[in-house]
Formats: sequence, C-alpha cells, structure tokens
Amino acid sequence: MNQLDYNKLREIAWRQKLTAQQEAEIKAYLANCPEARPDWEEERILTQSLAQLPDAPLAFNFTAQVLQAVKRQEAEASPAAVVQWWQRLRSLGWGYRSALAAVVLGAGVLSYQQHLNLSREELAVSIATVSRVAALPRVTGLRDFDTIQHLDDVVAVIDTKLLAALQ
Amino acid sequence: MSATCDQDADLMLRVQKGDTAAFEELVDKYKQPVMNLIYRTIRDATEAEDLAQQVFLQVYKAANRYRVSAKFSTWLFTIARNLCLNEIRRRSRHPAESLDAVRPDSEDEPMRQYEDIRTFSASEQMLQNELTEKIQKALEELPENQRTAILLFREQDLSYEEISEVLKCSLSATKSLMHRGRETLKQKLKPYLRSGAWQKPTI
Repeated sequence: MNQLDYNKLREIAWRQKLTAQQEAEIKAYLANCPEARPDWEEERILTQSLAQLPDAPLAFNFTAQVLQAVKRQEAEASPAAVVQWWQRLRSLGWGYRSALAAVVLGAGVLSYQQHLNLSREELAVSIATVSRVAALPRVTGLRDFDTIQHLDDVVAVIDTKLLAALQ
Repeated sequence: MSATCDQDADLMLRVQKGDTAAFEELVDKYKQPVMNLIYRTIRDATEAEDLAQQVFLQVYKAANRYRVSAKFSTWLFTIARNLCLNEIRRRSRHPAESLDAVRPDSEDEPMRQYEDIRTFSASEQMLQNELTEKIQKALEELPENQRTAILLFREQDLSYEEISEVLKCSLSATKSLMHRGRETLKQKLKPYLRSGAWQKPTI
C-alpha cells in the first residue's frame, strides 16, 4: 500500500468503520511506515471524538411546535395574499427580480403608448366630424367671389341709366 | 438514488399535496441533525431551536418548489445553512449576548432543561464533558464553511458532491475545506489527541 491508498483509507475511516481487510492493510502500512502512526492515531481519535459529540439540546415537543407554527402561519397567510406575493417576490434572485422589473416597465411603456395612440385616434375622429358638419366651399368656387359680390352694384347703376334713357 | 432518498422524496411529494403527516415524519427524522448543525454553528440553544423551526417552516412553505431530482437532505441543509449565515450576519450587525448562550465558565444551572438520554459515571461524565467542550470550541473557531463541511460529513452521511452543493463550491474546494478543517482541529486538539486518555487505540 502506498501513501495514496493510505489517504483513501484514512478518508473512508472518517465516515465508517474500516473492514477487517482494510484494517489489516493499514496495520501493514503502519508497520512499514511507523512515522505515519501518530497521524493515524490523531485521525482516528478525532473521528471518534467527532462522532461522539452529544446531540444538541432539543425540546421534546419540537415537532408539535413546528406543526403549530405551520398552522398559525397558514391561518395568518390566507387573507394576506398580497403579503405572500411580496414574500415570494423577495425570495426571488436578483436576476429574476430584474427580469420581472423589466417586464413591468415594458408593460407600462406599452400601455402608455397605446393610450397615446388612442388619444390621437380620438382627436382625428373629432376633427373629421367637425369638418363634415361645417363643410367649406371649394376653392375654385371662391375664385370669382369679389366679382359676384360687386355684381349687385353694377346692375343697380345700369338699371338707373336705362330708366333715364327710357324717360 | 438511495432508498432513504426515495423515501424522503415520496414524503415530500405527499407534503406538496398538503399531507401534514408526511411533513411530521420528515420533521421527526431530520430535526436532530438540523438542530446539531445549527447549534454548532451559532452556539445558542434557544436561537438554534427557533432557527431549526424556521428551517422546517421554509421547507413546508417551499414544498412546491422541491424537485425530486434533488436529494431532500441536501436541499434541507442548504436552507439550514442559509438561515445560519443570515443569523451570523444579523449578529455581526447587532451584537448582543444571548441569555441562553453557552458559557463554559458559568456554574449556573442551564436555563432550559432537556431530557438526558446518555448515562455516564461521574468521572466519565467529567472527561466526556471536557472533551466535548474542547471539540466544540475548536469547531466553533473554524471558518464557517470548514465547520459545515465537517459537520455535514459527520452528521448526515452526505457525499462530497452533496456537501459541495450545500456549500455552493466545487468538489475539490469541498475536499480541501474538509482536509484543512480537520488539520486545524488536529492542531488545536493535539495535546488531547496525543494523550490517549480519551480513547483506546485499536490498531
């Protein structure tokens, strides 16, 4: 057995009891390599000591407490769907939050743009309606407007001269 | 996937459907390992218990996000570790001594009473207490990731891969953390490990 095999067995011993064959291999290695024995002993005792650490103190009714807390939280959370949403939002990563913010911003811009388009359409419809109600004469029709406007005066002068001649 | 893993996954699938009995089974199974990890990280029995309770509450709340492809214990210990880290950060911002914190120099009665299922003779008990105290102190002084790696390896039979998932680092980094952690422990406990007073050599 070489150093590499020894290290592998040492790691296995961190977690589980070595088999009889593995122990024999270690024993043979340590016999050939006595300078490794102190390290092996330290490793072994450390592993055993870690395994023998007592369990942390835990209340005997811990499970019941957890179940009670679950019930309490469910009762509190049910009417407050908004809070739940907010908590979910907060639990998301930065990437998701940024993406969500971008989507909300995009939706906002889009709806504002639609609002603007709608306003413009309404304005155009209004102008069209007004223009239909008060239709202006065609420009060609107004070309001789002044001549026609003064026609009455000319006719009146001609009529006066004709009357004088007849008398 | 191992049988235990399958069993946990089955229980979680039942929890997803709102089965409280399945959740209770999971809490019973993992309460002690979770409590051990948290207690050895923050060293305060009351706060550790509160945090352990929060871990299971989060498991219940996030049950719908659990995917069978992930090992339940890996997921559970990731939640536990994250809560511990939050608590450590909170403490560093608002340092305050807890009334329940373990004080080795204190001779007062502990504030909370728990059932002691271990039986030792008086001298064995003293030796055991001393050893436990030294190891816990040495563990406490380790960097958080080294300590968590060692505890998870000891506690829950998690593989290196699973521990690296909990610690959010590579496999080689996890192995390195474990080796460095154990080396530090050996250095700190050398006088005790060398004395042989605690253990009988087997080989």
